[in-house]
Amino acid sequence: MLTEARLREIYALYKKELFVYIYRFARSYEVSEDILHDSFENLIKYSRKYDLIDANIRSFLYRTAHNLVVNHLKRDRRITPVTLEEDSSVTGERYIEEAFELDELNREIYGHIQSTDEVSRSIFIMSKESGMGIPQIASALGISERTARRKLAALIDDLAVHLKKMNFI
Amino acid sequence: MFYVIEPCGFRYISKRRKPSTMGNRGIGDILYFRKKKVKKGAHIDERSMRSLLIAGKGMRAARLHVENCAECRERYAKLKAVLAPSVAGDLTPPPEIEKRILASYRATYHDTAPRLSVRAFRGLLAGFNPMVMAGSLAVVLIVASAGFLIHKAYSPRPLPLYVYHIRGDALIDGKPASYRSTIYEGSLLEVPERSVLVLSLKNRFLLKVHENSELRIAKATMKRGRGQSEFMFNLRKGTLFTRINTPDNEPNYFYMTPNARIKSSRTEFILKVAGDKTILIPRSGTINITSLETEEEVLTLPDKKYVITSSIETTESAEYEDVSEQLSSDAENPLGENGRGEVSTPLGPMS
Repeated sequence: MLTEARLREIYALYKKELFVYIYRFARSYEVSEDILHDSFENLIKYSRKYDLIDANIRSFLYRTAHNLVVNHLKRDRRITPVTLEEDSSVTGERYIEEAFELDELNREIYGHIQSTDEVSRSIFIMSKESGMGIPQIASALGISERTARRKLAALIDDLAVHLKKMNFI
Repeated sequence: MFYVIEPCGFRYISKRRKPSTMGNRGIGDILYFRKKKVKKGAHIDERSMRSLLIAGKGMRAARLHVENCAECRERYAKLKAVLAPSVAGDLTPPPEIEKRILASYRATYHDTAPRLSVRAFRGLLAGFNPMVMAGSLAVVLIVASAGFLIHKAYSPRPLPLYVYHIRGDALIDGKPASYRSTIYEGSLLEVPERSVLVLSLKNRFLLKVHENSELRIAKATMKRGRGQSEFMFNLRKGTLFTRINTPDNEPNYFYMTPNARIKSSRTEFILKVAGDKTILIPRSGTINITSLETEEEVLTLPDKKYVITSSIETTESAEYEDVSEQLSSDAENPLGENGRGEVSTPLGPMS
């Protein structure tokens, strides 16, 4: 059972870090807002059937958000691309706007990690944006700590090589 | 702690392994270090540098080296920048999200039917003949199923619309509207004089009901997940402004007045019912208007005034200039002069 007051507390505690995580993954404000809402909606429905343990709430939210974003991205890939003339909503300006929110280094980083698998990307973003350690990340994604550590290490290696080529480091 | 230092850098090996069998190691193997003679000019190699970054704690020898070696310290700082939080501007979710979540919470916890305990139920059945009981139970189940189906068909469902802004004494289903009000299928919104009610859905739909208006949410079809849905708004009298900015596969919005049926997507318009006339002025997008009497259909153009009686006509006269001005005003600021400063409108003006 979850009281409204408790829900407000949980939301206030996790909204920003979760939103940043979702946004860096999904790269769209509207989608991020929906996924943030849906993540909490899942938490609410879960709380109707099971007891909520404080220690698990963060993991639950991140796991739900991760799954929702991945599902969204998969759905997105299945949509037939439309030419600009046919769909006036596609301007490309929003993407450029979002890219300019970041400094040059981070723009390069996020541009490069789009080519990685979703789990590695998720691990990286959780570590980078939410300051989560390996144990928390592993718990959130339901993977072993060794896997989380290995994937993060591999991604950092790959990023380091790329950033060196681009003279960032 | 142990470590072995080679001419080109440090290597960290497990106590359990000999140097010749090192090969590829995962970071989990970096546990112990054996201290030996240090060669001048030795630095931490790339893999160890990355391990240090991820380890979080431990690796004392490596940390000590980084503290004392300017070159390694600089390399470490550059690598650390990769994992530092990005400069993200103000990436905070808008306040509307919290309202939506609370609306979902209330809708989910709305049904609090009591549950019969299993033990009590078994106790109740203990004194009865099993055959008679089975027959009675079958009859009860059939009647209950029929009742349930009828109840489900007619009980209103809560909708994912929420109250975004109120001014004055608007009513929802006869009760004073509040930010906690639940909107149901079939809900009646009554907005008296000097009042305004603004509804929103997922920050991509906004509906402002002006004073002296009555609006019924006639029906809604909602599918699971993010499938297509439909909403029907029946404006019985008064004026409403609407802004829709939904991508494909998002809900379709239909409006009914005594004279017309209107279908819209990705648009802004104002709709007024005055006596036996319906006036519609679109600001952007394309709207499909159908006259209920003649079934005449028209696709609108922006900024033209459409008057629907038995037919659909456009007019350039100044007769409905007040409606045009209201449209411009609502498009710029749907909340009006008393709009709350602490939240931005869910949808900015459409370009």
